Amino acid sequence: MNKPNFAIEAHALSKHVDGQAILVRVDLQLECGQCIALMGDNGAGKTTLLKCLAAIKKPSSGTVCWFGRPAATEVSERRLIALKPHEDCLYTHLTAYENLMFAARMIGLPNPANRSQDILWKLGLSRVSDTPVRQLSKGMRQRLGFGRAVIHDPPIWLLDEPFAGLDDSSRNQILQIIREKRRTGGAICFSTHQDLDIEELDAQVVQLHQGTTFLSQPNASSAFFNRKRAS
Amino acid sequence: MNVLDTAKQVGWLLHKDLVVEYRSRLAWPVMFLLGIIVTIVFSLQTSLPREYLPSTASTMLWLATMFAGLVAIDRTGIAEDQDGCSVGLSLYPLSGSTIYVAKFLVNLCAILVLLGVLVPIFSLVTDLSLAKHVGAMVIVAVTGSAGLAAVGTLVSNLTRDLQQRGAVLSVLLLPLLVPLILAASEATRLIAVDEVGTQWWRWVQLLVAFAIDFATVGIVLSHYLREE
Amino acid sequence: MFSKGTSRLELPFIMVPVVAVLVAWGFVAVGNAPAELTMGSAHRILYVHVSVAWVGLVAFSLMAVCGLGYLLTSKMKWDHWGQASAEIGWICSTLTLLTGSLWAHFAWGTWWTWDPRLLTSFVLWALFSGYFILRAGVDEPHRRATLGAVLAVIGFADVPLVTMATRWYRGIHPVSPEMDPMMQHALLACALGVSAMMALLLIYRCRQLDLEKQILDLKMDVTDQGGKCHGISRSSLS
Repeated sequence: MNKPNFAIEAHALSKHVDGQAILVRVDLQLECGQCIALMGDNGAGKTTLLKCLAAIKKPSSGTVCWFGRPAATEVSERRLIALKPHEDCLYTHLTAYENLMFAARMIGLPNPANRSQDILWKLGLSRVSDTPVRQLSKGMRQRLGFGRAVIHDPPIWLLDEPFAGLDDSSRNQILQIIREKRRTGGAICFSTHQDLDIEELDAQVVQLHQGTTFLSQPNASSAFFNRKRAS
Repeated sequence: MNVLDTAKQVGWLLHKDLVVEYRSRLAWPVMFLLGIIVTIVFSLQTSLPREYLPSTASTMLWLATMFAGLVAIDRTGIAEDQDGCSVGLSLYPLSGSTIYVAKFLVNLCAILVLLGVLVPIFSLVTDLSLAKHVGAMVIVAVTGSAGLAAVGTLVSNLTRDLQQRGAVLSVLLLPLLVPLILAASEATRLIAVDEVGTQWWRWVQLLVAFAIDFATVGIVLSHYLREE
Repeated sequence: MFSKGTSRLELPFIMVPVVAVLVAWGFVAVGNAPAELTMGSAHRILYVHVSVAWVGLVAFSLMAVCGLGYLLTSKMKWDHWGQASAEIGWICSTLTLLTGSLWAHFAWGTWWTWDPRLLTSFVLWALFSGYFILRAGVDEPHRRATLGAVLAVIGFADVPLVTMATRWYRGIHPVSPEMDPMMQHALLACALGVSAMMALLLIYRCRQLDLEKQILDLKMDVTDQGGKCHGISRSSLS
């Protein structure tokens, strides 16, 4: 009787723009502590799906629920999710620290300064906290953008290609943060082109092709991951 | 979400925009320059008989303000679109109305500062004597800019996603601003001819009504303009 | 879905003759109205001018109402009515300016002059035109509808200005001049004829937009069910 309470549940999600189908009746469920990887070619609809799940794009039909309630019926519910879109969403004329402070204040965190310092430290960006974002390297911006998105540490994380263009050490930092989040019961959905990301995060794969989810393989790589952990 | 939280958010949005503008100098220098150029170009046309000077010059002052203000309003919108910042903004627990109020205040600041520069220059180059009633001029400037900012912010919200946003913004904004320009010019003319009386007060009332109307409509309708 | 459409097919059989009669009556009445003292027959422009101006104002008001309706319900139906009234309104608004300009040429000896009502009417026309430019720039139907609805609501502010312009501000445009009973009759008949014709166009245009959307939805349903759609077959529409 008791329906499992999914962190995110999308039902029959379709999105059409100007007669073009971007998403076609996509169903997706994400539980707490679960990690889903969206894979697919460019233009398969990954970004649109993530934006629909984050309720910043209106689907043409279908519904999105966060914790069993229709998504973002009140603005305050936005605190439940983090979306790291493809862009970094940073003000290039503000410093790294100011960008995080702005995000923390908009969300209404109780202690924005501490939280911002904390995130900078975790991402290894403390050194450049007072540097304007336009002087930061691409990889640093990307990490900072990730930090901006998850600054309020919400239960649902939606990440659009979080590892694209990162060097190994930056990638590991972010992997570490995502694993930690998952261990504490976070629901994570990210898009990627790399099999390695899926293996290392032990994620379930959802394939998108021309707007349809056509293949869902449960824990394809868990054997590999378990072996690695054991050794 | 209580009023205090919203006020705080508006404050930080305003702070952020002003800091970004101070460091990037994206909008204000262009705005000042355009305002001054238009002022000087218009002043070439004021070699009219003395009795026509007040009405012509005050209309020109407000036309110059409108054109230059349009640049500032357009730029405030564009600033948010760089590097996906508008996406970021839509992810915060902010209502569309909160963002509207913040952007309105940013635009209001810009236009007030612009008028602070243009009015003295204008009275110098056209011999328009506005110094006698400084208080009255400040009232007209504040109410006029508030109306301009209220409509401008709202329409710039409308044209946000468009390719040729600047052009469409001016096409939509200029007709809407006609009553404002008329009222503000008349009020300024009456100051110039030393007739700050009931007639002047009626024009100021019209300006106040215009600003309040459009600000209210903006606050209410921005709620619907939020989602993509 | 389509049974509703077929029952409405009977509508033209009642409406078209009624509209035709009203328009014909308008023509005859305008033709029979007595010539005016100073302008002679040229004053007949006035009947058309007042009629289209009136329909233009009604269309803009309707647009604002539909805009509110859309914003409150998010139903595309409202947007179709809004768009249809905007199109009708734009035609009427353009005709108002053209006939007004012609009339001004005969009555005042100028094509255009400074007058509050002329100015506010021009603003109205500019807003109608801006509405289409704004909509043309947006692909997503709901986004387009929202933007159009908001502009319609903002632009409505001009309607009271147009109607009150001649009363609030002294200008050259007449308010409501004394008229011969025959002239009053002509004006009434003409206004009725124009209104009926525009109402008919409005209904047809709106139905066309509805059908367009239905076709698009059907196409999307076909795509959603996995098949590729290169056009709608007759069987899916019947």
